[in-house]
Amino acid sequence: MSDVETRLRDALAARATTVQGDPEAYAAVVRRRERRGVRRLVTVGVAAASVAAVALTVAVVRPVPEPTPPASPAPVGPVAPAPESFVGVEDGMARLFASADNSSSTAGTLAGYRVTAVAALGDGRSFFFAALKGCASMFNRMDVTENTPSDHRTVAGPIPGGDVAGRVMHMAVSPDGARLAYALRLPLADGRCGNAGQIRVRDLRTGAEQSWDDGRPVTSETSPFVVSSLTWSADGRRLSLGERIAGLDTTQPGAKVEYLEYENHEVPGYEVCTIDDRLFRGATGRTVLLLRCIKDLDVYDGASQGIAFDFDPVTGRIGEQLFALPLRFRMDPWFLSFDSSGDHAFLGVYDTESDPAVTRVHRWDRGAGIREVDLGGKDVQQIAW
Amino acid sequence: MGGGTALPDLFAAHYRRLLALAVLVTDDRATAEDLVQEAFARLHGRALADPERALAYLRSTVLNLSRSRLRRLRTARKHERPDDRLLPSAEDDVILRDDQRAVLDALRTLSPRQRQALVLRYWEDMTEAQVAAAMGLSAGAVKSHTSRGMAALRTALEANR
Repeated sequence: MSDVETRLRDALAARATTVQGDPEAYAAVVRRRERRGVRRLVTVGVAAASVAAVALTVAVVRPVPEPTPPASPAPVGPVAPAPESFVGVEDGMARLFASADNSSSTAGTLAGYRVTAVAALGDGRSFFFAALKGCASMFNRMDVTENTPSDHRTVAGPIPGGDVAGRVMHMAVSPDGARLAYALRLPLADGRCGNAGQIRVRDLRTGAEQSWDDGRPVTSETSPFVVSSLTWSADGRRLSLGERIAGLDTTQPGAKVEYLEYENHEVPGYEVCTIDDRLFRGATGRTVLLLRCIKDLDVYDGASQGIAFDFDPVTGRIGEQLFALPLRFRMDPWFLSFDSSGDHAFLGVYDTESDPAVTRVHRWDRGAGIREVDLGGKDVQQIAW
Repeated sequence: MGGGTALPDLFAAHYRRLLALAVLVTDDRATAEDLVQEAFARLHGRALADPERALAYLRSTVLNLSRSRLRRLRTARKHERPDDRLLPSAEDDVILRDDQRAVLDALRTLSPRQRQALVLRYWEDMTEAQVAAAMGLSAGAVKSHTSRGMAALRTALEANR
């Protein structure tokens, strides 16, 4: 046996011995399975300590579970024109793109700061950036005055309420454009960004803020508060949060972030990769799309293997179903960003078939389907438009 | 459930080892717990006439879920700078020797399949055929993942020497 093999055995054994089982784990398995007895409708009450007995109800609509692309009850009427501009973030640098030809220019980046989150007002011309330096974030608003393939012009400035201590993970502008919601990782006493988080909502006219947290202390040992997406409900009252499906009643100052349990339907012959389910912002801020990972691998029953992803609509008080995105693909979605009309979207996928894996950006237009787009070779990791 | 081994017995017998397997392939305790609990939850209600087959199913489910999760973590890490990363938990910070830590760091640089193949081969002490069955791959694919993984591990360790 080679030296590297010996060292590998030793390291794996040492790491494994640090793992202890949780005596409550089996109860968690039973609870997890029992929840699946509730097939279509799950109601989760806000924690007892919260100020109001607000119940978030999520009805997960499950079509007939066949492994075929979902039917698309697409909106009727003419397709809205695509926004003339969108913003993409590449390795901490924001770029303004012209939709006409995907040409771009650098936008909204200051020396020493890295853009961590972007959001769009929905008019195709106004964008918000959060940029990080150390563990402090600066907000900026950028308005596009001209954006053609030959001319990219903008004006930018701070937003009311100023900067914030912490790292902004995600942002979303409310449907009425009056409030900016953002997920924040709070700083530790030593200045590093910790794992504890908050959701904040800032009034874009006055700068006044409200915040909600998950009630945990801000220490270096706090387990991660992970939010991968924020979505406003149509009425601007509630936020839905990924990566676990969660809801927050923004009309309740003391409300807690509530993680919602839901049930994936069983697809005959397929495994549903529950762990990978994520929520994405849907059309016009009103749709919450559940990304469902399905996998035709069931070694217990001897089926073949393969992996695919598709989108399911989730309806309920944290989101209203408009349509199902008729997509199925074999690449792992990284981001999905609709424009304000819901007729256009960018989908970033992680091509796991390639080695090393690469991120590819696709554009979906209602009536025209989906196609891979070249953003000038930019490795874009998020888009807002 | 059928007349075979009951799920609680399977859980008592295999939970900790499956959890260790999940930790080794995902490098994240919370994720590992989630994955293993999910694997047992999926087995709940199935006929468990053959405990060995049930264990194989559990192991494969953990590996499949781990792979999905690991891809995602790798994507996230690709887009993060070191100072963006979440702080390690106290448990993850346990005292390992420097050389052990170096090997585990190098292991993190491998692809999910390479990493799984090496963990099954060198921690579970499986044969290539057993690894292939657990991962749902051909023996040839396992041989390829293992040899490439070892080569990458060797390169990473030499680079960090």
